[in-house]
Amino acid sequence: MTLLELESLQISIAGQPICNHLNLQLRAGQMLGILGRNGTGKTTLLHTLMGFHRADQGRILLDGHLPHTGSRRDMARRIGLLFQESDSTMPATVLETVLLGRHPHSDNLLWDSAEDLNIASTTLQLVGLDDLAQRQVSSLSGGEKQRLAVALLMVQSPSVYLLDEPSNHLDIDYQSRILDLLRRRIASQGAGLIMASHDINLAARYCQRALLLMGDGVIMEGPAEEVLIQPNLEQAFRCPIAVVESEGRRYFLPR
Amino acid sequence: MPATNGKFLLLICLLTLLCLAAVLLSLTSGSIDLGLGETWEALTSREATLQRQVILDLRLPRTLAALVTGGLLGLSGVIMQVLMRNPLADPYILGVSGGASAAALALLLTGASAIWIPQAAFAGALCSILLVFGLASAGGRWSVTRLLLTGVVVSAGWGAVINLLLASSATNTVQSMLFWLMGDLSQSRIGIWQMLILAAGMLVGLVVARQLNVLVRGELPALSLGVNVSRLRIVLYLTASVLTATAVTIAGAIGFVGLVIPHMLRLLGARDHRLLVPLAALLGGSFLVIADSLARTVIAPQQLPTGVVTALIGVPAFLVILRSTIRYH
Repeated sequence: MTLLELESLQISIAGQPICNHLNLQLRAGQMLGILGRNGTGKTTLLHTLMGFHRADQGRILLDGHLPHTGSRRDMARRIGLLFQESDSTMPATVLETVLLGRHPHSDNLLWDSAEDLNIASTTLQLVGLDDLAQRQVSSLSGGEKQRLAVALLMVQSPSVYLLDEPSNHLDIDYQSRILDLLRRRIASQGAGLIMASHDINLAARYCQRALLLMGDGVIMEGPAEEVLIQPNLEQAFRCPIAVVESEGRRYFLPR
Repeated sequence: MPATNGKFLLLICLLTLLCLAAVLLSLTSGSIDLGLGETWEALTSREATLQRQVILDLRLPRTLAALVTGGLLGLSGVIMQVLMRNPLADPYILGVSGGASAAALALLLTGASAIWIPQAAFAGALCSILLVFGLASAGGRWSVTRLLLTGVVVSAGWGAVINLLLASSATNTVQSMLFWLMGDLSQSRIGIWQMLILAAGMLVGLVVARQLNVLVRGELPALSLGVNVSRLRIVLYLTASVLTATAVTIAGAIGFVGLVIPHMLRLLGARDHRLLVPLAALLGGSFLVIADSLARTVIAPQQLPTGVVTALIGVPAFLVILRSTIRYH
């Protein structure tokens, strides 16, 4: 089943082209990695999919529909974004924050149902924050805040998960734990996932498909093992890259 | 979570008790001291005693006016702080009180009957609300920064008008003008429509409370979680403005209540807007009733402007709570 379909999408920001003619399909259970140098427009592309940024041309179809024809709440059940940075001006606890993910699902105006609480605490457990449920968010470390943001997105439970730099602030243990968790979630829910990252190895390990943003609107899209090869990556990142094979996996390092 | 949690039930009960105590304090204190028993007797007996007259004609209307005004300001403060996404926002930040004050002072200057002051103030406030909204939304791009800048600039404009009016007034009118500017309840009476506006504001606040919780995380996260941010912001702006305009119409520009009441409640643990919205009205009302009781009695028979007392007791109270809670930020 196709969850998200992009038809000849053209995006630019401040006159700078990001992609000129992007066609793409995201199917249930699929993970797509967006890679590119700083400033090639990874975040802008994700924001365009969310409807925060207007595409110059082309169409975005969510479940076969144009997203802006439904309500925002309806859209929040179909697509959700893990933000690169999050900050709140007002104090809140970890549990209060993760419960916000139930907003597009819950119809109770004044209280959280047992189901809401149940989903929230189960998800906190999954990301290893259950002991910190009553802590103030401002007292968390960067990595804990990132896991909280992942938990919030999992509680929102959209059909398409968009992740902007999911490995931010996470140590290598949590990087794989969180992405394993999301991969299982995608598979069991029939959801799809798109992650923007500058970590080539992370994308190569988890994503079946890859999209390289080369800058100036040039893109390269296809199966990850075909796109993520040394010459393409050297061109995209404009630096010499070494490939190391170990235990049947390829690793990319700066040379 | 909030409604079922014992800690929050306790907070609700305590604040309701505080509200009742505040009303009793206000009814019993004044130029003639009445005990609780005497007050009750005066309220229930059918004889037209002096006590009954004092309570029914003087203290009860003024207490009600304080309760409703405080409620309006507390509620408006909560909404304004979320709308501006700024903990320093207060109900007057966008110039509502400036417009009201300028109109009220202009009326005082012309020597017209003081009966018309509420109407003039409300018209001035309404004019300011529409002016700021119109200017901020001109050109179609409506952002919080634009709204804030427009509001602050229009506020400054009203400030100049107010100073001009003060400078060109006779000394005896300046005295009553200053009382109005500082916020004063001595002439305040409320009718049913002010209560209805408070009730309507509370209803709107409760309906959007869940969305307020999401909106404090910022515009894009709120959009991502399914909040129609632009529509919500217009609702918030209009609701907070009308609440503020009503409060200013009753009692002039009483400061401090709208800024500090929401923070006091957050410090006490009420961060969820489903709780914060009703409690801000409750605590705001109680606080203003207490402040007004003190304003009437501290240097009796002289009366202080209520707005001065709100700051005098509010500042230390707020600092004490701030010091005793370490986990706020």
